[in-house]
Parts: sequence; C-alpha cells; structure tokens
Amino acid sequence: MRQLLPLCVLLLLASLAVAPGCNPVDDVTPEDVCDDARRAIGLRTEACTGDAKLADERFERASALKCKARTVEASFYSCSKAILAYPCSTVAALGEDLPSWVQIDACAPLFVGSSTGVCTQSPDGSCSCIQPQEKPVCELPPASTTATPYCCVDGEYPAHGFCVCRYMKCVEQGATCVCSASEALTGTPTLQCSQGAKPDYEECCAGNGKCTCRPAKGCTGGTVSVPSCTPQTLCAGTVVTTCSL
Amino acid sequence: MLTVTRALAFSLLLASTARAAGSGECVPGEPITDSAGYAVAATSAGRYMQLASAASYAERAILPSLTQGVLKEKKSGPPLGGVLGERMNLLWGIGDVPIGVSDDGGCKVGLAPFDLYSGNLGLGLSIGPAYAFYATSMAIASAGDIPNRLLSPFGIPLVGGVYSLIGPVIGSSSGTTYGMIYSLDYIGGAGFATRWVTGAAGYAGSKGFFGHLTQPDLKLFVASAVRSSADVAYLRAGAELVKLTKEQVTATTMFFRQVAQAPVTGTPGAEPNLKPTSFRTLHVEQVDLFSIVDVTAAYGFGDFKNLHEASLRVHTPGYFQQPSDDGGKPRWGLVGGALTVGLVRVPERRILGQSGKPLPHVALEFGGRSPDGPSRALVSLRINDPEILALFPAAGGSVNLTLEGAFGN
Repeated sequence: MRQLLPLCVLLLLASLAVAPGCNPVDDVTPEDVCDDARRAIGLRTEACTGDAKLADERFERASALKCKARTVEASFYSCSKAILAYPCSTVAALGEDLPSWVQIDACAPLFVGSSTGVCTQSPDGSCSCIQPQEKPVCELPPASTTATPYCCVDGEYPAHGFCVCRYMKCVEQGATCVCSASEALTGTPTLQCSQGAKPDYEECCAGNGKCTCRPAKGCTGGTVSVPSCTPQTLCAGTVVTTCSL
Repeated sequence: MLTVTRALAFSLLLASTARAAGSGECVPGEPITDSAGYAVAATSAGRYMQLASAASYAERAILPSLTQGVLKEKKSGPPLGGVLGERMNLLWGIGDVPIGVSDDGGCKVGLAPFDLYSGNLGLGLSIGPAYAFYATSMAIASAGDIPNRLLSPFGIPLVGGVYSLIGPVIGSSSGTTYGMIYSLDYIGGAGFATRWVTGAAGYAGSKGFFGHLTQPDLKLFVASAVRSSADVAYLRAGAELVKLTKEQVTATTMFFRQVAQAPVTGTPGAEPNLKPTSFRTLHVEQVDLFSIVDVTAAYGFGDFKNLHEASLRVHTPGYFQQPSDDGGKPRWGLVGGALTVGLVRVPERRILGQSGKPLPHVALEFGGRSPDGPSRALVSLRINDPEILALFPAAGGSVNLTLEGAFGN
C-alpha cells in the first residue's frame, strides 16, 4: 500500500495542474509574412549545407529584402513553401544573391522586385516603374492613408514605359482596390520636389544620406540631405537605396 | 494502406475532429503548413532528438531502479523486480506558427505560439541480477486549437503514454496529421548487474545502439546512444554522487555530456542526411551543501566555448539524494520540494529563435518518493530548463511543466 502513495500524489498533482489551455493568437502583419520567407531562406540554407552559422547569417541579411505586402493572405506563405522546396543545387546556385531567392512568382506578393518592379507615384498620380519590361502594379496605399484613395490603371503602358494612376473614388477591399467611378481629383501631391516645384514625374536615388532627384517635367532636380534611406530590391535583383523627398 | 492505417490510428488516438489545412488554405484552428514557422516546429518535434531523449531516460530513470536491488544485496522477498515510469514535458510557446483564425464567418491568419509535448515512458523487469528494459521518447508539436485542448496537462500523460506503447506496434515513428507533428523512438535491451559492475545494451527503433556501464563502488558511469550512421546521438560519462567518506552529507557529481542537435530538415517527417551539430558540455554539481543547497555549473566545448549553466538550488533536507546505498536508513524525506534559480546559455540559432544570450532559469519542484523502492512522483514548473534547451534550441523563453512518475518494486 505504501508503494501506491507516490502514484496517488502524482494523480493529485496532475489533476491540480489541469487548467484551460492558454493559447493567445496575435495579429499577423505583412512584415511577419515576409519574415517567414526570410526565415525559409535560412532554413533551406542549413538543410542543404549543414552550416548553421551560414543559415543564421543569411536569415539576418535577408532582412534587407524590402517587404511590399500591405495585407496578409494565407496564400502568401506559398513563398516560404517554394523556398523550402528548392533543390540543393538551386540553393548552391543562388548562394548569397538573396534577391534572387525571392525572384519567383510565389514571392511576388511579398517582395518588391520579385515580379512587379519598383513603382513610384508622382504628385499627379502617374506611376513610374523602373523595370518597364514587366507589367507595373501600383501598390495600395497604407491603411492609414486610405482616406485618399487611388487606383492604378495601365492604359499608357507600355507605350510610355509607365502606367497612369488617377485619383478615383475607390474602396479598398482586402488586397484589391475597387473603384466605382473614375473622377479626376486635385488631391494633395504625395511627393515634393526638393526644389519646390511640383513635378509631374521624378525619380530619386539616395546614397550616403544624400537624395538626388533627376530633372523631369518641371522638376529641376537637385540633391538634398535625408534623414534615412530605405533599401529596395529591383526586378533584376539589384539592391539599391531609394528615398522620397 | 499502411500509411492510411497509421494516420487513422493516430487520429483516433487524438480523437480530433479538425481537418487539415491544404496548401495556401486558411482553415480556422489549423496551422499554415506552408510556413517556415511550421518547418521550425517540425524540426523541434522531429524524430532526430528522440533517441538522445530515450537514452537519457533509460540511463537516468529506469536502469538505476532495476540495478538497485542487486546493489543493495536484498536478502528477503522474491528475486523479481519491476519498474514502470513516465515523464511528460509540456513546453508552452516554444515558437510561433501562422494559424487560421475565425473572423466573422471567414478566416484570417493569426500568429499562435506552438507547444511541444515531449515525454518518456519506461518499463523494466529484473529477475535476480538480470534485467530487461524498454524506454521511449515521443514528441508532439501542435498549434491548433482543438489539439491543444485535447493535449492539456490532464490528457497528455495518457495520450503520450498510449502513443509510446502502440507507436512501435503500428509503426508510427514520425509524421504529421491534422496540422500536428509527431515522432517517436524507443530502445529495448537487457543487462546484468553485479556488485562490481553493471552493464546493459539495447537496440533502438531508429536502428541505433545503446550501451550503459557503471562501476558502483567508484560511482563511475558511461551511457551512449549511437546512430546507424555512427553519429553519437547521446553520450554521458563521469562520476555521480561521489563522497569522500560515508558520513559526508554533501556529494559531488561530474560528467561530460554530448548531445547531437537536430539538423534542420525544413520538411516535417523528413530525416536529415546531414551531420548534426554536437553540443558538448562538462557539468559539475555539488549537492546537499548544508543538507539543503545544490550548486551546478556547466561549460561548453567545441564551437560553444561558453558557460552553459550556473544555478543554485535550495531544497528540503534530503530531497535530492537517492536512497542510501550503504544499507543505512535513507536520508531523504517522503515528500519534499526545491527551488532553482540560475542562468543558462545555449548556442545561437537565430532561425530557430534562439539568440544565444544568457537566459534566466527558474524551476519549482515538488514531489515524493517511496523509501524502499523506485516509486516516485514529481511535478515541476520550469522556465528555460537547461536540459530542455540542449535538446530543443527553439525552446528559449518557454515554460515547461513536467509530470514524472514511477511505480515499482
């Protein structure tokens, strides 16, 4: 009988330990989804090379891959799945060229340059893309600025190498921008030229804290100091730093 | 057909009514299996670590109970002994997995902590100086709502115990079902004990080998599990509870340990074909200082040249000590408790969420032991348990509830 005492104690403790499962679920941000894909680069690196340090290093450096997603969809995780399925020969070929790791259709919704090119929007709503060989898609505005709706149409693409966006009465539904009517609005320009003129189009590149705009249609161009610059990945896989003035 | 049988058996075992989320689908309560977060969970719950865990449980919990009778030269009673033991670890929140969440009749993606349920089950039978044993290790990773409810602290000892027993029979060594990842390995073997030496050998379900040798007088021991690929999955060797005189209360334990940490597969259920990363540490423990204080320190070798653990434990008098092996009256009490505080550090693994920085280690234990046999019952609540972190690097910051029991003669 004495032998049974510990068993009784265990059962008592087990019953005391019964508690409702606490499993809080947090909201997922688009950056979380991109980070999952970056983690997949590290995981696949280790699975193919066995080098844990290299895997961690690539995961860290992959944070430079700018996330372009504005919404979260379950299908976006197809990017991670595709990366995790890379044959080891592909992993060896991609190596340190991290932008090329996400240069696949499955990763298009997540990373700038994976298929849509880098597009910038001018004050009058026109959309310019650096990679004219690919169909440009304007990004939806951040959730905080949906009060100024806009949409992108590509009527002038590829004739002029860029598409045209007009201010319209639009409603954001998930990842889709649905426009009920087309209406030209005066709208507040979202870009300001460094020289004070309102440009139709400008393209800015930055380096070492200096942002340079090339002259274009009313923009006189110039260089100005900027507080921060943001790395971006172009369609071809080149990482450049761009900024908005 | 076999695969279907396995999946069916495991599904019935868990009595789950959830359905699996397909690729790119969002199903409320089910993890997004396409994600890298899910791949990390798969690595943590993969079969790779189970051999080390089963070997550790066999040599530390089951075999000492079986050889105890021979070493104490029991002069009365039948020459038959046995032990049944089970230990279950519930690790909450060892990583994050994207999961489907109900949203006004639809489904949106949320980020849920995934939990790891790991456990051991051991059986042993001794006839005179000969003995046979069976030890298992299993793990289940889950982030789903329904499985989490089923695998509650109340249910996991039952589910884990049944899986440990029927897993080898139905051949369900690893896989996924309903968004969960599960794996199992086991060791079966036999041994012989004399006053001068004890030895045991076993064969693992994953086609590995296990060996265990002790020299009771000098308190020396060595235990190891080796894979068929000749990789050392587990090695522990040293001297345990050494005293300079029989009257001395405090005792010293010193041992070297090597654990092969699982290479990332990225694919649930897949066996890695890479050389593992060996985590080697030297441990020194001084127990029962002033009868109530234990001090532990461990240092890493190889790639990890750093302090692995430094901790201080205060316990009720006699809580730690094993039964007296000199025929005298056992010094430990029937029921006791202990509080441990310290620091633990393991190799950096950023893709697994392990920063490699020192982490606080706290443990609260409570339990009781039978004074004249291997029977015991222990419950402990731990944060950043060093042994758990050595086996599961992703478990940094996790909370671990351990239930352990053994019953035997």
